[in-house]
Order: sequence, then C-alpha cells, then structure tokens
Amino acid sequence: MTKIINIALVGNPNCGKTALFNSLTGSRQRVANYAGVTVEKKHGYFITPNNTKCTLIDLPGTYSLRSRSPDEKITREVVMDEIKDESKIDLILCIMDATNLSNGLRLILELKQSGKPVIVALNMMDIAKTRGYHYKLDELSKILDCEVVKTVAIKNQGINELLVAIDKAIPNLVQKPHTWSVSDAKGVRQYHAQVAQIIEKIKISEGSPSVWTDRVDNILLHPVFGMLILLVLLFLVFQSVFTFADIPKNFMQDCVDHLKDYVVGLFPGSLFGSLVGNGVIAGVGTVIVFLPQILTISLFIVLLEDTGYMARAAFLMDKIMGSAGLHGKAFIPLLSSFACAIPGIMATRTIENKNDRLVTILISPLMTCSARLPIYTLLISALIPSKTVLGFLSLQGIVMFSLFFIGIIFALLVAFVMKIFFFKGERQPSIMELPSYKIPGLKNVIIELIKPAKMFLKRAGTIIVSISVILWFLSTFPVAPIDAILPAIDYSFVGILGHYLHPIFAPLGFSWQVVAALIPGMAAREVVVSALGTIYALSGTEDAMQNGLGVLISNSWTLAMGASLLVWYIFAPQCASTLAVVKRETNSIKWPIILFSYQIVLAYVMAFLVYNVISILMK
Amino acid sequence: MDLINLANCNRYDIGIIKEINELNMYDKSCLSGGEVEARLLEMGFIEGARVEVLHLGAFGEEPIAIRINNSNSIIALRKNEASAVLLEKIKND
Repeated sequence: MTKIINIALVGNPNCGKTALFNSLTGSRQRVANYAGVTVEKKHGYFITPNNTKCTLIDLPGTYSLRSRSPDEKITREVVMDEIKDESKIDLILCIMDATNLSNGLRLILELKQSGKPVIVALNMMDIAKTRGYHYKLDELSKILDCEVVKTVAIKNQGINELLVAIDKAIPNLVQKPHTWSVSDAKGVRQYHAQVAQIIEKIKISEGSPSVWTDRVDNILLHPVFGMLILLVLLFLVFQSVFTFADIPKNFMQDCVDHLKDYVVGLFPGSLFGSLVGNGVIAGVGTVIVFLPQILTISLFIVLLEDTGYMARAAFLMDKIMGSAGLHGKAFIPLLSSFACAIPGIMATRTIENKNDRLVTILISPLMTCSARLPIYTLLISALIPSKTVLGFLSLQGIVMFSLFFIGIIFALLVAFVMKIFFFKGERQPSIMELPSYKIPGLKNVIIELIKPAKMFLKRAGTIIVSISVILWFLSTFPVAPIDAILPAIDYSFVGILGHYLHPIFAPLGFSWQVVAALIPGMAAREVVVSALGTIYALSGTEDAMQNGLGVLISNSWTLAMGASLLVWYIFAPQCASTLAVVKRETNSIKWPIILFSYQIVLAYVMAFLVYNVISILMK
Repeated sequence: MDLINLANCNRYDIGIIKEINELNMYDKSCLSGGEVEARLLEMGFIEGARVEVLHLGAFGEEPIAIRINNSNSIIALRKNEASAVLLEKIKND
C-alpha cells in the first residue's frame, strides 16, 4: 500500500477554510481531540485523481504562528510536527482570501519557514474578480516558490485544479529544516514590509471593497435599528423553533406513540413488552421528536455564521459583553450554547485570555440549550394558554423567549460577579474581524447541519437508551405487593428515592414524581420528560395513559409548580456531559465543582422565590 | 502636524496611521510587552496604512469598526486598543 499523505489546512479566520475542507472531503470527516490538550482535531479524507490517499487536517484559523490562544497553539504545533504520536505533516495547504491578500501573505511567509512544501489556495476568486482585485498569479507563484490555485470553495470551484496541484506536488515532497522563530512587534513589521513588496510586484489593479456590504452594514450595525434587528432576529429564531418545527415534531410524536402501542400490544402483559415499549421506545422516542427543533436552531446558527452576520451580532453585543467583563468574541460560544453547551464550551477556545475563557465556560450552561426544549415545550404548552398576542405573536413563544432571556441576563450577572471577585487582573484586548457578507453555500450548510443531528442521534442511541432502560428497571422493581393500595411505582426504587428526597424539594413545590424524574435527568436533561412520562404512566394514572403527559400536567399541576420547575431548569446543572467537558477543557476538577455548586444554589433559590411569589399572588 | 488618536475619531473620519504604540493606550494594564502592538499589526494595522472609520457601536461609540487600506474586510476594536493607534487626519465630514 502506498503512503497516506498528511496535509495540514491552514488559513486566516473567515477566508473560507471550513468551506474548502467540506468541499475536499465531503462527508468523509472525523472529529476527535488531540491527546492531552482539548483542541478539536478535525480530519477529513479524500483521494486524488492519481489515486493517492490523503488525510486533510483542518487547523484553527489564525493570523500568525505566534499562538495567542490554545487553538492557535495547535495550529503551530501541528504544522511544526511538535505533537507526539501525531503523524508528520507532508504538505501544507494554505488558504488565502483573494480580497485580503496582505493578511494571508504574512501567514504564508511564516508557513514557508516551517520548511514544508506549501500549496496556496487563493479563495473567493469570484468576489475578488467582481471587486476588481487583480494580481499576476504566475508572478506570485514564482515569488512564493509554490503552486497557487484559484478557488471558490463555497461554489466547489477550483477543487479539481487543487487536487491536480496536490498530485503534482506529491512525488517531490521534500522537508527542509525549519527556520521559524517567534516574532515580536518588530518582526511583524518586517513581514508587513515583505508583503508590501510582494503585492507591489504582483498587483495589476487594487480592487475596492464591497459597497454592498457597507450599505447593509449601515443598517445592520446602526446603533438603533441594528440592535432592533438583532432582537427581532433572535426572537424569530425562537418563534420558529416553537411553531414551524412543531409540525414535524408532532408528526414524529404520533409515529412514536403508535409504534409504542403496537409493540406493547404484541406482548400483552409481559415484562419484555413493557421494557421495549415503555422503556426503550418511549424513552428514546420522547427525545428523538426534538430533532426538528434542534435542526431549526442549528440551521439559524449555521446561516448566521456563513452569511457573516454572526460577527455583526458580536459587534453589536460587544459593549454589553464588555460591561460584564467579557470579550466580544464570547458572544459566539454563548450563542452556540443555545444548541448545546458542549460545542459552546469548545468554541471558547478562540478566546485568547485564560480568565476570559474560564468565565465564558462557566456561564455557557446558563444559555438555554436545546436539551431543555423538551421540558420547556411540555410545561409551556400544558400551562400557558395558546393565545395570540398583538395578532401574530404566540403567547407560548413569548414565554419561551423570556426563559431564554432570563438565562442570558443571569449569565451576564454571574460573569460580572465572577470578574469582580475571582478574576481580577489585566484587561484583555478585543479586536475582531467583520467579514464581508456572503451567500452561504448549500453543500456547506448541509454538512454543518448533519453534525449536530448526528451528535444528537448518537446520544439518543447510546446514553438515552441506557438511561431509559435503567430508569424502567428502577421504576418497575421491586414489584408492588399483591395487596398494594398505592400505585405500583410507589414501591419501586424510583418511588422510594423520590419520596426520600421529596422534603428537600417540597419548598420549591415539586411533587415526589418530579423529584424522582430529576434523578435520571442528571445524565441528560432531555430525559426528564420521558422520565416524567414513565413515572406517571407507571403510577397508573388513567389520564397519563390516555391523554398523555401534557393533559395530565395541565389538569393537575398549579401554575406555580410549573413555573418553579421551568425556572429550576433555567439554572440547574442537569447535564453530566457538560460537567465532563468543563473538566476536560479546564483540565481540573475544581471548575466543574464550582459550576455545579453555583448553578444548584441559583436554581434552588430562584425556583423557591418563583414558587412562593406565584403561590401568594394566585391566592 | 497634529496627530489624532483612533479612539477619538468620528464616523467617516479618514487618516493615515503614523504610529502604533501601546504606550499611548488609556489603560496600560491591558497586556504589556508589545503584545497589543503585535496583535494590532497582525490584524493588518501598519504605519502608513489608510484607515477609515465606518461604524461606531451603540453604547459609548464602542466598538469602532474600521477599514484598513482597501481591504475587503472590516476590523472592529474597543476604544482602549484603538488608543494605541495615532492617525494623521486627511478627511473629515
């Protein structure tokens, strides 16, 4: 077998690197972590026209090899073969924005010093052409002493030419000794001077920046309208999660219910039928129906990212972030946390400063992740009347939005308090790039959407199946005595534990069934709904069997009780995977403990307040 | 020639960068030893480059969005970092 060629993909942020990676590798991708450090390792595979197998390693975007953040450090270490147990890099593929040549060229000059062969993908050629940026590319290739290929990654253009160039480079991949060293401000100025000379030699015409982007920015970055548009946009995201995504969700719910009834009916009265039907199908089913909602919120995030609006949102939010002591960049991990805190926490790696990063990690779980949607949706539709306000806004949507909003406000407050008391010290520079607006590529959007879907389904298939089975077991055994007066579940382990812990949660208005459901919810929040379903179903309440959990809750719960549970879920540390990721990312047990403690205190106090205030008001 | 601090510029101001020096910064506690300077340089700031102030944030005119030379991308920075950049103003609406 011939050797597999390892290619490192390097480039500035916002130059279309991810799009090129997706274009070259399609769905043949694998995400892992570098041993010891916690930076995501994204590998993709492709075969060149000459049948050489290549591994493409997508490295975090960077402006230099000087490594200011954990992310950028990895880029340098991989390029320089400094990581143990990683296969050596044979070739560097450097992607450069053709409309922003100087930033890209400085990076290439640094990369050339690694001694490795380099191929340049000059990306966004279509925009460069329309904007009038023309360069003598043969000359550039001669000066840099490497192949330069024109690409439009987002439209899959130039990919074949790039593959041919890689094929051409493969027979003579020679590694020279590296001559790179860390440069200070003076060193960066020298790179600037070198790049200015290169551009002078290759320039045919210097283009003009996108007028269109400026016009759009005049509105979207407007101090008043820009803010309003951002708010409306965020509100729209939540409305569509609640309304559009509800249609496929209800359909899936029906399918799951029928399947469950069918399976239980196949084995009447048997334990096996109950395990498969009430345990596995009901457990996984109640979770899987949230896939449309997760896809909806992920779609918005991908679109905002790919159009270039995300950076504008970060711009608009920068001052607010700054007043809580956060970096403007913190907005992006926090927004990702709406889908799930785990990718959000991993996205904090772009934040250079350790303290800024820690605070962002610690508040990310306060963003309402999609795993909380099941319980929110259930309680809101059960307890809040489905009315329209002002003719077009759904009242339920508004309540949902406020829950998200409360999470955000408290996240900022917590950050502010932490910054004052625990993370005093130097202020951090906040500089970011606002890329010009682009129309997202369909292929790229689809690939980026498949990722969270896969992750979610994998969780449903593994963690949630096992929890459902364990929960079914705990709530079925020990079996109730024959002369039992109370429902069967009262005699089971869940019943025992729920009753045992009930006094602690009684001040929050939680019933023992809720308390029992909180326990499996510790592993994954989305399980709580199915746990409640199982517990109520097994308590033998006719209502639950026939009309479902929603009807049962709207009939038997008070508003105060529902509100208290909702508030509990804004704050509660109900996710073992998040805590595990925090431990991995901070490399210490201290931070997950702090996170867990502050969240549980906050959840308890807030739920207590809400329950009691509403109870008094409703009297 | 009077130099003006980028942090004090108004919207639509255009100037030529004369000096990038973190000793000019309002809050010098912000990282020392040439770090801010190096970061600004890496993002494309350089003496002699033309800077145009495009947008100012809603609260306290912060952050500041600028364009360097004729680049197609825009850089946003907070006032404190901007205060390290001194410009010679060439146009003012």
